[in-house]
Amino acid sequence: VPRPERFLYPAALLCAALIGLGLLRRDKPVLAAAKPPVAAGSDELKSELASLFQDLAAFRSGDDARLPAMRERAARICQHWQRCDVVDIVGYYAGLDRAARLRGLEDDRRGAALRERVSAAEHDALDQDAWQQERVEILAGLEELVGSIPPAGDRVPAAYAAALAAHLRVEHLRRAEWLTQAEREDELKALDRDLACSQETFGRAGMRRPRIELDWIQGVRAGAESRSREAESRLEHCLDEARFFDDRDWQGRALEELHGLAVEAGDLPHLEALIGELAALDAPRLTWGVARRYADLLIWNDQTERAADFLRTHVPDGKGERDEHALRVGQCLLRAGDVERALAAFAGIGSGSGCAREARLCEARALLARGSNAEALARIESAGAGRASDPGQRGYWLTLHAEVLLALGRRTQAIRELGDALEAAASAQASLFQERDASHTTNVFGELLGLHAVELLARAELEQGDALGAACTIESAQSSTLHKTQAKFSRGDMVAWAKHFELGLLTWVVGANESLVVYVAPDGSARGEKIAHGRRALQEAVRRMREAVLAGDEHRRESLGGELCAALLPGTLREELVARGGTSPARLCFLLHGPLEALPLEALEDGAWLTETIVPVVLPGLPESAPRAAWEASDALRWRLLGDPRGTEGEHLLPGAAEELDGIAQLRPEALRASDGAFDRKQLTAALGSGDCLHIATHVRHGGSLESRTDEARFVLSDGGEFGIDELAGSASSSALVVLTGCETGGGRFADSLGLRGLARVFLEGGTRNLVATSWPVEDRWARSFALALHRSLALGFAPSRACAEARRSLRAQGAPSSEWAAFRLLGQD
Amino acid sequence: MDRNGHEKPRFPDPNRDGPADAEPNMNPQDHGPRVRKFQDPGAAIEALVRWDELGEADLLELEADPHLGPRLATLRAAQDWLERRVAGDQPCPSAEELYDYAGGPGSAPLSAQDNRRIDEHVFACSACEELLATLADAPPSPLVLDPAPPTLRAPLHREPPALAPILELGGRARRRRIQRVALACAATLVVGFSLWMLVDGRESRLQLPAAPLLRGESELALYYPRGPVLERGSWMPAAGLPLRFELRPVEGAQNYRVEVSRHAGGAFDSGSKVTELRGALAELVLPARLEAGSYTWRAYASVGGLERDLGARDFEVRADPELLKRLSSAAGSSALERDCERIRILHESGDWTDARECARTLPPSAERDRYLGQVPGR
Repeated sequence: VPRPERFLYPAALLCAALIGLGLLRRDKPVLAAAKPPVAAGSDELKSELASLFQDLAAFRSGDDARLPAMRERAARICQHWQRCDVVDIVGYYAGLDRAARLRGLEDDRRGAALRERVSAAEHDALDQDAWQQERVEILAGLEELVGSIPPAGDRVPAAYAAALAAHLRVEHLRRAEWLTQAEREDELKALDRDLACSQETFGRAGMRRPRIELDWIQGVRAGAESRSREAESRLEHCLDEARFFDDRDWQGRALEELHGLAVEAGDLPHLEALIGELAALDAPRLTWGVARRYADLLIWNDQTERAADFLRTHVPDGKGERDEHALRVGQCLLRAGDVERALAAFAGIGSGSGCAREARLCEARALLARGSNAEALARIESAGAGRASDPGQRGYWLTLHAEVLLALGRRTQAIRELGDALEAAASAQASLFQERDASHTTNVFGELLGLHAVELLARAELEQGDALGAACTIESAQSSTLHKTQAKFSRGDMVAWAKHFELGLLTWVVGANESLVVYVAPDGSARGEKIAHGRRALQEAVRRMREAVLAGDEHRRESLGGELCAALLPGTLREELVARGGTSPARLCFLLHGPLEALPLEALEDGAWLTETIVPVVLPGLPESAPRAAWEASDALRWRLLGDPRGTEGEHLLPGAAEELDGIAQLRPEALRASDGAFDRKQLTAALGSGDCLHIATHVRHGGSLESRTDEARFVLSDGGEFGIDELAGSASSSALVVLTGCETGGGRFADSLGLRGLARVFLEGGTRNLVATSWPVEDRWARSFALALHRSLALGFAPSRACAEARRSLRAQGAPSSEWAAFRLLGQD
Repeated sequence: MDRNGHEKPRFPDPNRDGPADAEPNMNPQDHGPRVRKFQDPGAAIEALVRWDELGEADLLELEADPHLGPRLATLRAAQDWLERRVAGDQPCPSAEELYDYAGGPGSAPLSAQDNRRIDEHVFACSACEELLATLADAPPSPLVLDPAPPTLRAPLHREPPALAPILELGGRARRRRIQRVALACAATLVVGFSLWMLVDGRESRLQLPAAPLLRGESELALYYPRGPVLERGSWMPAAGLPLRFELRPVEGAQNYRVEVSRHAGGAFDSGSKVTELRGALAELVLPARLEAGSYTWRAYASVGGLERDLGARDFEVRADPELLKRLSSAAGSSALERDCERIRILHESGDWTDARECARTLPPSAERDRYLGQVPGR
């Protein structure tokens, strides 16, 4: 007979194995004591609310016996689902006498009848005049209703009536452009009065949900008055409340308004997020409203093939919607070079359509592409310049008109008109930057007006023989976030900058279809060339080049580099630069804009592009009207060495960083050091504010939400802490030289004319004069070798750009691949 | 009898009040007079099994019962015997002492006193008895110092030990023993598992290459393929290695789409689409190799019914005879070693895509998973 113990061992082993498995599945512990209680579903809440409102209706109709049950239910709803507004609502009605409650019901019916009239007018699609007449009558009815309810009575119907009146008024203010200033002010006063009435009564009655509409009205009103920040804040609040109450209608309305504001700001990442949320509300089938916005986003992002594919599978039913669809299909065809089919698509949009004007402008663009310039001009002029109040619409018209004028050879007029368009865009941009957080605001030259306008103007100036003027145009448009005064660059400024470098400066503007390069020599002479590639092609070419460098594919690096060189320095420009370069090291400033900011220029430094004697100095724009005085060794006397972070277990996260700081400390014994466990937030903040030269050797983490326009990079501190880009923006160093040997410190997220938004940009915008940064992640050991070589060169008295070039050369000599030595870049002016 | 021929005077039989071999009447079908409470035979047996948990009144009733009383007395005697034995028992001899006691090869002679002590202990302790039985096997060969005797000397006391009463009867001692055994097993398993993890985490057997230490990582969405990829090789499995498109998962994505375009390899070549894949991340696999040439793959994630562009990446399918030759002649004494060598060769030559695909063919191991789990930092 087997002993019972024989069964105990397998059983014990099984138990232990189960325990082991439980420990392995750390996220799902099998030994968890108990599951959390299952949250009640929203259906239960809905049922409770329905019963409550049924009781409330009966109570208002005179059934006083319902009150205790109502109170009990409201308390339960508050306790279980945090909907405590119902307690206040019950309290409000309990405080009214029976006559007031009965009168309130009657007033409700009057209000509902007026609301019904608004819906009917919308449904019947009244013409403008008929609607205006109806609107005035409805407003009078609402006013009469509000005024007829005594202060001691049930004022909730009055609040609803006032909210409806406010809604009608804000829509009127937004659309009725013909209103005089006085009429507008009267309307605004009435709007404020209605809003105040609604707010006060809904607040007194404890009603939260009806106030969602009030947030929306206030957001729309702020937006109509160009108070973008307030508009966004109100609409975000409206959206949050609508989410809380699961009110999909108001969620959709808030998202649509926020979408409009994001379009105004050219905030494409935010747009994408908003469209995604709208699509989720629409799921499983997309409405045309969302599909249209998504197609627009693809077109703006230069993805017209995808937009065309998407439009093929999303064809709306209504006539007006089909016109909108045809307009976008035509835009995709035109971008793909199929002019005739594009013209056919536009021709199908009649003059009565809501998008007739846009269709005529698109026709003009297609005619221009076909070479029918005179016909294109006639079509543009027939469409009219658009509303003066809409700078985007007017700017678009002016740009297209000027483009046709250029094609017709009427250059002077074209330059004047483009100048006007850019002036208006600059002013709109200034107002945007004033209103909004810069990280959520685009450069309107880039995404509202389009760099196309900048490129056109610069091209016109080049064709007139004014290359220096073209350089000023390019830099004024693309240096705005760096150039604090927001002023335009003069020819004198440009020459001063060119003189600062032995070989002068090069600047580019990358347009939608073609680009330009302008070279300004130290003697003030300038010349420019057209580049046959637009934004998308250059972006792809730069990506390919970077991948070749990172893969260590030397043959491909050289071949792609040669191609890029021929494209970006066309004609005899390269030969001229090589001839000027001579045999001794000389600096050339590369003002890299747009997709070119990510170009691994340094990877071509070994003679693959220019001669090895040319020392590149890179800037994403000119930071000031004039350069600072030439670099002196005394500019880098005081140093602070930071980094070498420790992990939570006390381990060195970057062994190379410790050796790097030790080596630099030997070269600079007077430098203050905050490394190892001492590398914390306090030390870094103090260092950034000190104005001393900084050397920071630590991990850098990248990322951020999809909506962010900026790479939310973070320095890794000791013990797991992080120092984010927002903190950095508040305390960015204004020192003469900052060295960041972490990963991709010169990178960021790309935003058209703004270039790469990340750590480096924050330092430069904060006033850092020179920054040594990395274009991609680097190996710990090579970062250490580079840093030591850089400081040795600086100690020899070299300016930062030359020291950086020498350090790169040193790495090459040590056998480092181009993926390591080409990663280090000097951003600055020496 | 002990090994010296003595009786064991210190261990009287459990039933002191009667002969040890007198069977108590345990037949539940007995119809004699009973105390009312334990009239039911099932209840009576249950009460006897749990006699040590019963209250005073129940015990008195059992004692008074003419049939159940003697059985209770036997159980009490057995418990007393056990408790006395445990209280007076000495600790188990060490394994070395037991080995010497068994007199196996290389054993040292024990003193007569130790012999007696162990003999008495083994008689009473079934655990030591079992351990002793295992010592009959010869130890592993490196430990054999002397020539093995023709037969191992069995312990002198070889009568099978009486079944321990604890196994025959329920009670606290039995439960305690079960608990101890279970705990010991669990502890052994946990310690064993930890040791296994420790050993497994040490220096790798496969010696697959590791990524260099970078000072951070880029925000990459598209991982592999990248750079050079081999067209095809004789060392590959008959069907060739598949081309797997690996990318960072996107939160909320319902599915993914990959477009592959072929181009001439120039900086500005846009090329034309050659294939498209759709599905979950694991399904983005081309079963056959592409022809030699330059390719770009662009990936999209479908979130909420809308596609999100995840970016593009290049790769180049190459017919690299030199590399293929090195791979075909990869050194190693086993297929596994040759595969690992090929992975190292591919990795060093920059063909990380094929190196990964090759690593997928290795038998499952922590090191293989670690290698495949590496996300490119740039």
